[in-house]
Amino acid sequence: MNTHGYGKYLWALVITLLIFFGILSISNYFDSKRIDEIRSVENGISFNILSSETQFALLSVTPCENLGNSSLTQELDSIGTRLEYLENTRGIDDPEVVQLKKEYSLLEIKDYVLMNTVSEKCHIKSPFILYFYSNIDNCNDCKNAGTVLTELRREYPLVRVYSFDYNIPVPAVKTLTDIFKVKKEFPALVIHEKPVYGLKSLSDIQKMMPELAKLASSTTATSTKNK
Amino acid sequence: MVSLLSTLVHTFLFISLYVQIFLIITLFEYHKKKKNQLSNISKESTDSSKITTYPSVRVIVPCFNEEATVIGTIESIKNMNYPADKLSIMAVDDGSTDNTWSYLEKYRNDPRVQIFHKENGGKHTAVNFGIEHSTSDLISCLDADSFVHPEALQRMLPFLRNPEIMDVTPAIKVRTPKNLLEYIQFAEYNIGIFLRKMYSTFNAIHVTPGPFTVFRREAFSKVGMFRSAHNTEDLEFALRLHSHNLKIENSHTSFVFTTPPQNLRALVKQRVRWTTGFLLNAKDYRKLFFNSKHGHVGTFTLPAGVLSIVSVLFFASYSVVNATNTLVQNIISWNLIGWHWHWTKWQWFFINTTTERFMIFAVLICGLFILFVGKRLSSGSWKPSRDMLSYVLLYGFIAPIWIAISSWKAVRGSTPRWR
Repeated sequence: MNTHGYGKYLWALVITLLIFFGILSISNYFDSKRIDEIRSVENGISFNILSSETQFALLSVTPCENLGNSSLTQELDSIGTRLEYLENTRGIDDPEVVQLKKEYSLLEIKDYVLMNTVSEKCHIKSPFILYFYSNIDNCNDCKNAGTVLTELRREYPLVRVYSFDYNIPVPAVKTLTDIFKVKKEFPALVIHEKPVYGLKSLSDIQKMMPELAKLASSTTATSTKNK
Repeated sequence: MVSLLSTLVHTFLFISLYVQIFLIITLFEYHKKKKNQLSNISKESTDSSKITTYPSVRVIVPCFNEEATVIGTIESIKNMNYPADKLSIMAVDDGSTDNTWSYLEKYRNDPRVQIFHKENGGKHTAVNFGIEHSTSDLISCLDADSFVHPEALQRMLPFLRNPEIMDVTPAIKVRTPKNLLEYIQFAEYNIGIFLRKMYSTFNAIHVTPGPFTVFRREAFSKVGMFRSAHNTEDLEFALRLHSHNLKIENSHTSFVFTTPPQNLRALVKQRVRWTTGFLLNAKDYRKLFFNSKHGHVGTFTLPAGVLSIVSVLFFASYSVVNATNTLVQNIISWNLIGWHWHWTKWQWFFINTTTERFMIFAVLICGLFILFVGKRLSSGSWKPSRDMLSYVLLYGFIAPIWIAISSWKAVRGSTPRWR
């Protein structure tokens, strides 16, 4: 190794480049593991939805209480959190992330449709919130809205919150925005099938959804009973 | 915008890593040379026990309001292991307004110490005064707040066997650290010992420090005396030597103990002077940049120094913006949802494995390695110590203060004050 003169500059560059590309490979390896994990969870959810749909088709012979799939909501939430992390680290334009988000959006819509139908048939008043955000329209409040909804889900695990990127090229999402006449104003929430715009605090949402109080007391009562 | 920021972050991290790798290669190169005894810095040529003839040495001590330390400084020179008839001391009081002169007068009848008093004109005028009144073979300068190790001068002599070498710089250490700030500086000076030693292996030392650099007399006849240079004359002189293609060596076992600033205000003031002086002198000697005719000081030391300053400014701003955003975000969240604390379950998925994080990790590992090598060069030990911990935890928070002030001053072209 000639390092007496200016050869050292080249050697240092070569070693630094090797370290850099080594780091890049390790980082990509972990990212691909993450994507595999999300895909695996999505496949699981897809199977569970199919299972619920089949159960629903057999509704005449299946009691309503057997149709509950509350674990699905938690799994959907966990994918949502993971996708948000990937968006932050890999960027919102990353093709893998965009593809996963499309699949996630479809799963959410399928779950939403199924749960709506189950609620109607079984006469259950399930609280649903549809949340539309945007990554490209300079929506400073979207992140804060996400924080509020995450806390809402923590306090009321039975509330089903479905979040959608308004601009994601998935026709079913576009259909959803058309059905509820959601304008391009963010953050947008659909509560009781009506769109509401702007950042809302936790107490704002609690006021808009008085049924949450009942949900909280029933959850507490149930959990106390279980003890 | 995000991708531009990300590109900048990666670029600065890459440059930082490159500089560290360059220095680590230099370290291995130095050890290889030392082992093979092929160069001027080989064991044989630096063995001071083989010295038979001693050149005459004049140590100039410029003083300005140094009543607290000047006696100790002069006594440390007198106690050096060097033939008494070859070593003389000249203390030049540069118009002190305290009792420095009355302390110096104690040496009025000491045949080895000459004392002079002149009107205040700045440190370089006091040193030049001393040089003009000296006839010795070697001339040294020792700041009046520093103390030399008894063997410091002996250990420098072997390097001067090479007639191309115009001066030899010492290894500066902090004298008995007491408070946290001094401990931080202790580790920082150890890194300085490493850097100076590495730079010396490819003739890229960019400063001839006030605490005990030994000059060949002919250095001054070749390039001239010290000049007023943004209150960092020792830096300008080194750059001038390089512009004349002259060599500067380093004796990393010639220890000099300096009294560091003891509070943040004094430390910032000192570092603002150093950093602004570096930037302004680098500007004055911009002809050296990437000019291989003048050696590595222009192709490595100066560009690396400027890039380090820009990197610190960038990362400090980046961190401040991020910390402010997080704080604002937490306040907004608190307003929206109230105070909620949730214990988050550990999941590997959320461990930050971005290239940025790994690059930071690589830069930190290399930085720690350099810190340990500095400790080893300075004390012969690899053992972690309190000063290293203080440095790792706190230096990153205080250095940006003087880097930012210095950059602003340099942009405005204003020369920082000594005190």
